[in-house]
This record gives sequence, structure tokens and C-alpha cells, in this order.
Amino acid sequence: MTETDKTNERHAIEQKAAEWVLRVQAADVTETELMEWDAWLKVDERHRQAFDALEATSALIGRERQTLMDIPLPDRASLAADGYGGEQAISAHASPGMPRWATRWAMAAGALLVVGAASWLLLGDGWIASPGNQLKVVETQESEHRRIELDDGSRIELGAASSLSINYSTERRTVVLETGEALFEVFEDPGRPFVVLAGNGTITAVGTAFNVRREASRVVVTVTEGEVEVVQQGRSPIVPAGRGANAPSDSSPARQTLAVGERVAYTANSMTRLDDVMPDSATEWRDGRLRYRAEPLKHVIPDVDRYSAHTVIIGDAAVGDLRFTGTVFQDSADEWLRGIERVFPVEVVELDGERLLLRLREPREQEKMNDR
Amino acid sequence: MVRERQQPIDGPTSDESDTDRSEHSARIERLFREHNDSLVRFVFARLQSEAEAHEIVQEAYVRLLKLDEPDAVSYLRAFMYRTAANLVQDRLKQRQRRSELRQLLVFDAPEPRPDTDLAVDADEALAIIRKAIDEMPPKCRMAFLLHKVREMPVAAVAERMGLSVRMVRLYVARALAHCRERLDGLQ
Repeated sequence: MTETDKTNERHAIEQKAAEWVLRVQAADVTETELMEWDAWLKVDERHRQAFDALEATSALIGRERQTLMDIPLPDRASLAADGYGGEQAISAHASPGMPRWATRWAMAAGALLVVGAASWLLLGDGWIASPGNQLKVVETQESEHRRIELDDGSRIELGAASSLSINYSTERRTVVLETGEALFEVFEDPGRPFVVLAGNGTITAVGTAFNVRREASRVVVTVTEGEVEVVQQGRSPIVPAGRGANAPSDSSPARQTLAVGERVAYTANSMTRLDDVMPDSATEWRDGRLRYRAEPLKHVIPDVDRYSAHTVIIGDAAVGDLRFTGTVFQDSADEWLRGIERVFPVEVVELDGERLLLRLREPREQEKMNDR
Repeated sequence: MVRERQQPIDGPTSDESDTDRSEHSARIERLFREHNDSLVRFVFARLQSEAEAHEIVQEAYVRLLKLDEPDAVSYLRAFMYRTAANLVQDRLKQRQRRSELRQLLVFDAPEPRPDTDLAVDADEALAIIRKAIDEMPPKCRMAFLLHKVREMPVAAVAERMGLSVRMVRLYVARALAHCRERLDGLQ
């Protein structure tokens, strides 16, 4: 047997072992398959060794998959140009012809040209444009919504009393949500991830739609279409690609991949999955409604506050923990705030023309008032 | 489980039900001895826990012993795998419920720190895996990243990439074998 024959045989065994690992780990594996697999294992000691080795590799990747999340998906052009049909092992396929860097360079140059042309079109109109780099800041007033159309086909709907800055470069589309709430509809571009920075976290999308709301102490992300990845960091807002492996363990980010209807809330030091919602309910704010289900007032009030002429202060932690279920109409946010008294054991005190204080109406206090 | 009965292969069966019983037990014991390795391997591949793997194989054994009607070996073998697979599914569901509960309880608690001793070797292996992924042809890399890293089911990957399920499995298996090859330091 020649060296090539041996290599080919080893490749064949490892390929079969890898296929078995995938099947055996699948939820829908059948007993017939398991029996076939068992027979295959017993044919040759090398089969068993190969299976164990491939299974260990699969498990390692499974355990570390979060740190591999930053590897970008191949873009459309390279997928279309790919002629590999899995006929032989990858190492046997890699052609000695054109070195990889040459292909890379050619693709990068193409991408640069397209972006360069786009940025010319956008000069003026409030855009600060440098070659391949654009920055724009958008703000809304209380009760105001604004729709932003971006040059790559993506759209942002900015909620009331909100602000964000948009920074597009050749490698990355970055939006910083400084305050408030926004709905993002992202145009797919695998070579140029769309990243939203909000608080100490990042939300990364390829082609998808999601809502981000900044509250006083946390950020809530809801996916309405496709899939996004949310990363919550201890310190710096962005870990450069490929650096994950060297990062010290105490700043290792928490990550979650969210599908449609899924939500997370992250704070300065944690990330929590919230109950799933109907995807539509996360975007109802665009139609003038804020809808909640058993949501603590400490999250509801700041949200409603962005549609109110008043500034609302929660004077009592216990008030913040009361849970509200129902709909607030944005054009009657002030009426709703005053109406809280009728629903909750809460007292609404107007401090001056502008500020409203919410505090717990305690039985004892009422007794005192009665005594007077 | 409704299933077509198959003819017993193991010679004539006795009329005496006690003998039936002990024959059945002996048969099942033989079956488990013969397949113990594969069963443990199968459960371990799904649950990544040696202890749970042995527990589940034990439990499958007990369930088969309790079977009312002793049956042909060929059927028992399938049933043994089915039982183990069902037990694995139950265990996975249990784990998910537990982790959901944990998420509810540790609201606002810091993430646990990873074990640093282990991280050194894993870092090295990860660097090799990153390089291996970079070497994959684009479609293969796409299928691998979607299925193994982003945990998208094979059927969903197939739909997204416009490929057959069989083709996606082939790509992911090639990708996995390539990672192994690089980890082994082979050419």
C-alpha cells in the first residue's frame, strides 16, 4: 500500500466516523441506524478509535462554540465560486494552484470599490464622510419617532427620546444606541456585520430584524426576524475578532444567540433570558402602543416616561417591583401615569410642574391622615 | 411501541414460563454485555457525562429485564437502543428545565468563571481549530459554522444554503474530520 493509499484509507475512515458522530448526536437517530453504527464500530479497531477521536473533537467544538462565534460566515460571492462538493478530504482538496491570500486580496479590493462609490453618494446631508467611513448622529424628542433609511438597505426606526450614532466602515456597520429604543431591520451582508452597541453589550446581526431598548440599568433585546447574537462584556464594549482566546478569564463575555421571539436583558454584570414573546409585540411601540405582560413598574415607567411631558421618579423600590399587565397608549401616557393610583397601592405626587413622584401608599400613612 | 413481531432465532422456546423468564434474562444480559461499549459510547456522545452514561445503560438494562413478553434477539437489540435513546432524550429535557430554572434564580448574579487550568490546552486547540476553519472551502465552512457553532439544525442549514440534508451532513462531516486531522498534527 502506498502512502497515498494509506492517507486515502485514513480519510475514508475518519469521514465515516465523522458522519456517525453527527448521526449519533442527532435527536432523530433511529434504532436501525444505531445498530448499523454498532456493527461498523466492531468491524475494525480503527473505526472505534476514529469515532472516539471525532466525537472528542465535536465535543470540544461544542464546549467552545461561543468563542468561535466571531468567525464570519462566507459571503455570497465566495459561496457561489466554491466548487468543492465534499468528494475528498479537505486537506486533499486544497489545490496547490493559486495561494489563498491572492484570492482574498482580490475580493477585498472589490468590496472597497463598492463602498467607496456608496460613500460619495452620501456626502452632504449631515453625513461626515471619510473614505469608507461615515458617521451620523440621530436624536428624537419626547413622543417623536423617526425612520432612518441607510445606504446599505438597512432601516432603523428610532423611538421617542432616543439617540443613536451610525458609523459605517468597510469591515463593519456599527450603531451605538445611546438612549431609548430602536427597531433594526438589517440588510444581509455577511462580509460586513451589523453591530449595535448598547450599554456594555453588543448585538450582532447578519440579515435580520430586532428591537433594542435601553433602560436605566439594563438593555432588553428582542428578535423579530432571523437570528442575532448578543454579547455582554465586563469592560470594553468590543473584543476584536480573534482575540477571544487571549482575553483574561474575568472579562470573558456572556453570549446568547437569539431566534425569533426570544428576548434577553443584560445589565453591567449579567445576562438573563426573558420569556419569549410574540415577535410583533416588541415592535408595537411603532404603532403608538406599549404593551406589557407582568412587567415590573421599574421597567414600565422609564419606557412610558419617554412619551410623557413629565419626568417620573420612582420614590420607593417596592413601587418598582409592582407588576403591570396591559397596554399604554403613547398619546395618553400622562393620563396613564396619573391613573396608576387607581390600579396600584401607589400615590402620584406632583413635585413641581415637571416632575411626578410615585410612592407606596401604605395603610399606616392613611391611618395617620385619618387621625388628623 | 407497536412493532411487527419477528421469529425467534434462538432455538425453541419452552412451555414452562419460569424457564422463559430466566432464558429471557440470560439473553438480555448477553445482549448488554455484547453492546455495553457502544451503548455507553452512544450516551456519552449525547450527554458528555461518563457517570450519566453508565446510569442510563443500567436503567435501559432494568427496563428490558422488566419486559413482559420475551422476544427475539433482533427485536430486543433495536429495543435496547430505542430505550437508551429515549432515556437520553428525557435526560436532555430534564437538563434544559434545570437550566431554565437556574436562569430564573440567578437573575443579576455574575457569570461563573471558567476553569483556567483547562483553558490553556483548550486555547491551543482552539487556535488550531480556527486555522482549520479558515482552510475550509466556503460552502463547507458555512455548513460547519451554522450547524456546529451556531447550533442550527441540519434541516435548517440545508434550507438556508439551498442544499440537500445529505449534502449538508457530508460538508459538516468533512469539516469535522478536517479539524481532527489538524488537531492530530497530520498533513
